[in-house]
Amino acid sequence: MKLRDIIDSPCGLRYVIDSLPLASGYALRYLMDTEALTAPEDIAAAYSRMRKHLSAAGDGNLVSMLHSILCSLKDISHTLSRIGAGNTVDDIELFEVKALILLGRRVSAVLEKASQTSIAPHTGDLEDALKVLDPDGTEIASFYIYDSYSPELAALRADIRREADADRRTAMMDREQALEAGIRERLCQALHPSVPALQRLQEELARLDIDLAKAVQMLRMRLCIPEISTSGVTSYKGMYNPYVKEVVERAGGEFTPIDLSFGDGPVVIIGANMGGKTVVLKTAALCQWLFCFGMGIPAEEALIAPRERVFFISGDAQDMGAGLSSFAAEMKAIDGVVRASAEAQDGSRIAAMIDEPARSTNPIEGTALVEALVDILGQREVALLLTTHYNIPSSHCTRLRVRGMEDGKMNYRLCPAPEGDVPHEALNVAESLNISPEWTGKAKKLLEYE
Amino acid sequence: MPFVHELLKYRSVAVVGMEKNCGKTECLNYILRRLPSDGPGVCVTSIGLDGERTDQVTGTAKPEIILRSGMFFATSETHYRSRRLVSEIVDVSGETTALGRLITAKVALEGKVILSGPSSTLSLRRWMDSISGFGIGLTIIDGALSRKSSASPAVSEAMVLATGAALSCSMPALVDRTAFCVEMIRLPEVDEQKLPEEQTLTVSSMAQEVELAPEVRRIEVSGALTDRLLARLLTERRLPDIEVAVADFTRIFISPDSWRRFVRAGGRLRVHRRTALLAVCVNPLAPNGYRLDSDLLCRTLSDKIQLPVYDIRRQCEDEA
Repeated sequence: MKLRDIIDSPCGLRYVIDSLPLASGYALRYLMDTEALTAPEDIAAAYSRMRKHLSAAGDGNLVSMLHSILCSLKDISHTLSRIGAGNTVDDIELFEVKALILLGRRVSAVLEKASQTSIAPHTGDLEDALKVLDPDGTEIASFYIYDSYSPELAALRADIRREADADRRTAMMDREQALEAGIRERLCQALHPSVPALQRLQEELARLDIDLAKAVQMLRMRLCIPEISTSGVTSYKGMYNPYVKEVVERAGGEFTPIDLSFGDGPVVIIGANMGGKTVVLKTAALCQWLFCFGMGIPAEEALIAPRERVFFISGDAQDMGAGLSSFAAEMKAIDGVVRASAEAQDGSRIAAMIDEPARSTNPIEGTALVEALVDILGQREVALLLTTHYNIPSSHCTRLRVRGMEDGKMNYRLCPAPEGDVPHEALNVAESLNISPEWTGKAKKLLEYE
Repeated sequence: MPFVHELLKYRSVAVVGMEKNCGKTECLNYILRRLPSDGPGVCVTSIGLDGERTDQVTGTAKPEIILRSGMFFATSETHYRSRRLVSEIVDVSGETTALGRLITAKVALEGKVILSGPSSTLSLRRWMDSISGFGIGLTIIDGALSRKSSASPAVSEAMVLATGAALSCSMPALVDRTAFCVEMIRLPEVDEQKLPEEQTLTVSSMAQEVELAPEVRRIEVSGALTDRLLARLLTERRLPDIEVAVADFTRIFISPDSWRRFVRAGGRLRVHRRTALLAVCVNPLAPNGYRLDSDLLCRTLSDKIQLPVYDIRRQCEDEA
C-alpha cells in the first residue's frame, strides 16, 4: 500500500504529512509513491536513516541552505529514460540533466563542509557526464550547444554574426541548427553510460529531502523514534494526536496524552461520549501508519509491532457513492478485516482499529455482532483495538475505560475496566453540553421508571 | 528617440496595445533595437502569447520579436524549441504556460523568437522574482491582446501604450478613446493618509446597494470599477464630497460616457498605485488597409493628451 492510498484516512495522517518541511515537490511525490514498510528490518533501516539525519536537522542554517538548493530538485526520470533508451533529447532536457548534477554537487559540498558526509549524495561517478554538459568547466547551471563542442559550429556562428543579408543569414541559421542537432545526438550518446548514476543521484536527493524533513519534523513536533516490537505487542506512553492537540491548544485547552497497549488479545475501549475513545483509535491508526513509513511517532515512548495490513474503520463510513447505508458500508468494511484474517497465515500481522462497530443498529443485535467480531478476530490473533458502548464480556478481551466525568470535567485517560456494565454517562455529558433540560429531565425520569 | 532612455530608469516596463494590430510588437522591436548594449541586463517576456509570425485572429502578417545577443527572454517550452536564435538556458521555471514550462534564456546569437510568457500577473510576478539573481536590470513585458493587466503597477513600474487605426478608422474616435485610456492611466494617486475607519466604505461592483453613512469620505472599490457601480454612485447627492478609490487603472472598466457624467457630477476618482506612462505610439494603418494621416494623428493626439506621440514605422523609415 502506498502513502497516497491512505493519506486521506480520517486519522490525521494528511496533517502530519502536510507539516513535513519538504523542499521539493518531487520529494513529496516520491514519498506519496512509497510503499508502506512491513518487514522489521526495512523499518529498522528507515529509522536508522532518519537517525543519521538528526544531527543535520538540528542545525538550522544547514537545513536552510539545503532547502534553498533542494527546492530546485525536479523529476527528470522521463528524460533519463529517453537518454537511456538511446534517444536524443533537446537543450531543455540537457539543461535539466546538467542542473541535476550541479545540484547534487552543491548538496554534497554543503554537507561535507558541515561534516555531514554520511548523508551526502554520491556524485563522484558523474564527473564524465558533467564534462559532457559543461565543456568549458564553468559549473554554472546553464546550457546550450556551446561553441567549444565544434570548431565548425563556432566558425559558422561567427560568420552569422557578420552576415547582414537576411536571406543568407536564414540559410546559415538552418545550417547552424543542423550542426547543433548532430552535436546534441553525440552528447546524448556520451551521457548514455551515466544514466544509472544519474537516476541514483535523483533518487538519493529525493530521499535526502524526505529523511531530512522527517528528522526536522521529529525535532519540531517532539516526536519519538519507536522501538520495534518482536512480540506483537504495541504500546505507547504519552501518545497524542498532533492535529487534535493543535486544535485543542488553539482553543485554549490542554490535550491529555494517553498510555495504551494492545496486540496481545483484543482490546475494547468503553466509556462516556466525548471521552476521546475515537481520538485514541485514530491516533493508534496514525501511529501505526507513520511507523510503516519510518516517521517520528507522536508519543513520549513507543514500542510498535510491524503489521502487514492495517485497517482503520471509522463509524461514519456511509458510502453514498456506492449506494450503501452507513450500516451496510460499515459491515462491508469490517467484513474486509474478517476475511483478510481468515486468509492470513498469521493473524497477528494484521492490525484493526474499529470505531464503534454496529453503532447504528439495535443494541441487542449490535452487541451480538461486536461480541462475535471480538471473538473471531481474537482467536485469529489480530491486533484488535475497538471502541464501543455495548457491554462486551471481558472473557473475550481486555477492557479499558475512559475515566470519564470527574468533578464536572472529562478525564480522558484510560483505565482497566475488567468487570461490570458499560458507563452510563450520556445524560451527564448531555447536561454539561447545556442540552435542553426538558429533554434530559424527561429522559432521566424514564430511566427511573424502568 | 527619447523615451527609450526613459525606460532605463525603471525595473519593469510593459508595452501594451489598445487593440490587436496597433503596432505593439513593432514598438517593442523598436525599443529592443535601441536599448544600449552596455546598459543593464534586459529580459523580455510576454503575458500570454505574442511574437507570432501571423496574427492568430486576423491572419495579417506580424513582425516577430528580434532579440540581440546578451538579452534574456522567457517563453514557453513549445516556442523555445521553435526559436531562430542561439540562446543559453538559465532557468526552467515551475511556472507553466498553456504551451509548457517557462524557459528563461540568454541570447548568444541574435535572432527571432515567439514569446509566450506567464498567463497571469501573479505568475508573471513570481517569475520576475525568481530571475532576480541573473543580473537583469530591466524587464520588458509584451502585453497581449486586451491584457492591460500586464501594465498593472503590481507588475510594471512603467508602460508604453500602442494605439492605432485598428482601434478605429475615425480619427476623432481613435483620439477620444486613446485619450480616455491615457486619462485613466494618469489618474491622481490617493492621499494615503489613513482615514478613520468610519469614513471609508469598501464596495464591490457586484453589490446591489451602496448605503453611504453621512461620515463616509472615501469609497474603496474592491476589484473592478464598472459602469453599473458608477451609475449607482451618481445617484448620491454627496458625490462631490466623496473620493472613489481603485487599486490601479487596470481595474477600471467604465465607458467614456459614464466617466464624463461622473466628472460633471463632481465625482473624484483616484488610484492607489500609478503606472508611469512613458510614451504613446501609433500605427496609422488598419488591418483592412485603411491608412490615417500619420502626422495629423500624432499631432492631434499629442495635443489632446499632452504627451509625445510616435509613429514607430515612420520613425524607423526616417532613421533609415
